[in-house]
Order: sequence, then C-alpha cells, then structure tokens
Amino acid sequence: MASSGESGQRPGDGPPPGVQVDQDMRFQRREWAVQRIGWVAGVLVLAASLAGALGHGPLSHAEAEGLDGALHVKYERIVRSNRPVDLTFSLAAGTGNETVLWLSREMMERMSVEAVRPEPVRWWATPARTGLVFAHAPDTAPGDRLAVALRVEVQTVGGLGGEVGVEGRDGGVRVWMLALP
Amino acid sequence: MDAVVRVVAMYAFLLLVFRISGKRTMSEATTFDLLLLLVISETTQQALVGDDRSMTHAFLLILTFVAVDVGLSLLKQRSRTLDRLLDSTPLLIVERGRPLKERMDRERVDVEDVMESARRSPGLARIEQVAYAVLERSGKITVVPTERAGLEGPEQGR
Repeated sequence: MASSGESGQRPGDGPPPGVQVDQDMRFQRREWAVQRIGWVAGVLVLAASLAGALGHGPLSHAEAEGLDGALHVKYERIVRSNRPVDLTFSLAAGTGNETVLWLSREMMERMSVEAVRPEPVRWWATPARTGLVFAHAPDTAPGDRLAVALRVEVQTVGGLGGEVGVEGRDGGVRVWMLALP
Repeated sequence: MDAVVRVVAMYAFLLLVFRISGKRTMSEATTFDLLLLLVISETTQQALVGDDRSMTHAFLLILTFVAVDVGLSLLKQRSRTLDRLLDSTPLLIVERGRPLKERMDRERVDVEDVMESARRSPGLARIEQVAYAVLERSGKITVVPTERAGLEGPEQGR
C-alpha cells in the first residue's frame, strides 16, 4: 500500500497486494472529475440544442428588414451544411408587372437553391448579383406584399454572409448564417 | 479528403463520448445495449456516408478507420500516458470480500454486478469468497476467488 502522506494519495490507493493490477487512483480520480465535467458539458450541449443553438430552434430563428421596408426576410442563423433550409421573403411589389428579388454573389457561391415558391418567370445574373424575377398577379397594386420562399442548401462549413434585396429599392438586407458540419 | 476528415472527426467524437460515459457503458451486452449500439452505428453511418454511396468512398472510409485505429494502438504502445488517456486503467472494486463502495458508486457498479461475474466464473456463491474483483479497462468485471473458496485460481468473468 502507498503511504497516505503522499500527495493526492489515500489509504488503499496503491497497488493491491496479492493481485497484479495496474491501478492508479490519482489518474482514476482525475478521470472521474473529467467525466463529471463531460457529463455537465453534454447536458449543456443538449440544452443549447433544444434552444436552437445548433439550428432549428428559437435561438436560430432570425429576421431582418430593409431600411425602406421593401424587404423582410426570415431565415435560420445557424444551419447544417448540405441540409435544406428555408429563407422566406416578404417583398413590396414595384410599380411594373414584375418584382425582382436579388441575392449577392457571396451567398450564391456558397449555397445552392433547391426550390423557389412561387416559381420565378426568369433568372438573371450579373457579376455581383443573381436575380429572381416574379410576375405580378393582375390585381397586384404597388406596395402589396409578395411572399417568396427559397429552399437552399449551404454547401460549405463556417460563416456565410451576404445581402439580399429588391431590385430598384435602396440597399439590401444583410444576412449572416453559420453552417455547421 | 472529406471522407478522411469525417472519419477522424467521428472517431474522435465517439472516443470522447464513450470515455466520458465511463467504463461500464455498453460493457454488458443486454438487449437494450445491443439496440443502442445498432442505433448509434446507423446514425454514424449516415453522417459518414452522406450523399456519396460509391464504393470508392466506402473503401476510403474503412481504410481511414482502420488506419486511425492501428495508428492509435501503435502510439499507445509507445506512450503509457496516451494508453491511459484513451483506455483508462483497471480499478479494484472488491478487496478481500469487502466492496469498495465509493469506487463502485462512481463507476455505476453494484454488488449484484460483481456477484453476477463471480457466479458465472469462477462460480462463487458469496461475496466473502471474492478475494479481489477488478473493473477492467474494457468495463468487464474479473473476479479472483479467495484460497478458501476451494477454486484453483483467477478466471475471466463476463
């Protein structure tokens, strides 16, 4: 038996007589302490997950609106890489027969658009933006709100920032998402 | 490259989770443990395979798993510290018929677990016949009988 005066050692901590066991109680006690910390960390991760810190929950939901109110977007701040996630837009209809929703290049480079509701009548792309053109219904008046939903998949891991906006209106709305692996 | 990163990350995560959960986790092959093991393996498989169901990807995943496992075992041979960090150490839980309660509580082992091993092998009937019981690194309990138990020597439990 090891002496109880040794630092961190208690009676019975040493190797037991009569049986060859590679027992190390100092290591074992540290292991128990780390395990308890691990359990607490695990519970915290689960609680954070329920709250949406890993996506799909209250902490993850985000909304943003342009300064002139022409665009309102709801999105997930925390997403999973290569998993579908919805971006929903509320656009103010313009004066013509069409309204264009645009997304900046840095967004389009790192995510794929899997579906758009309603279907745009056409798409266009410039070096800085990709535009989705939506035709107005006959009774649409200027300023009416149009609802558009994009189902996208972020193709990379990490932070993803970019802008979305309505063509012909000032500025865009900054959107930032964190894609988890 | 993606496959290798996925395997290394998954291996590290599983190792961490099972080290934190303790020696006894899934050491007993109860029906529910088996079910849990299947669910975990299915979940792991989905995260590893992703959208790529090609044979090349599967070969790469398997090769990486084996390489990581063999690599770690070689490192463990060279480093006692790493060996202990990854595989823990054995722990005496019964000494001369006396259960070491604090240790057993911390490892979620009770006297009935010890006696189950003792009955199975070496075939002991009472805790007083146990000279030593050791919770091994694998989570299994091995029992050394007392000389008075009339048995020849230590045998492997569950």
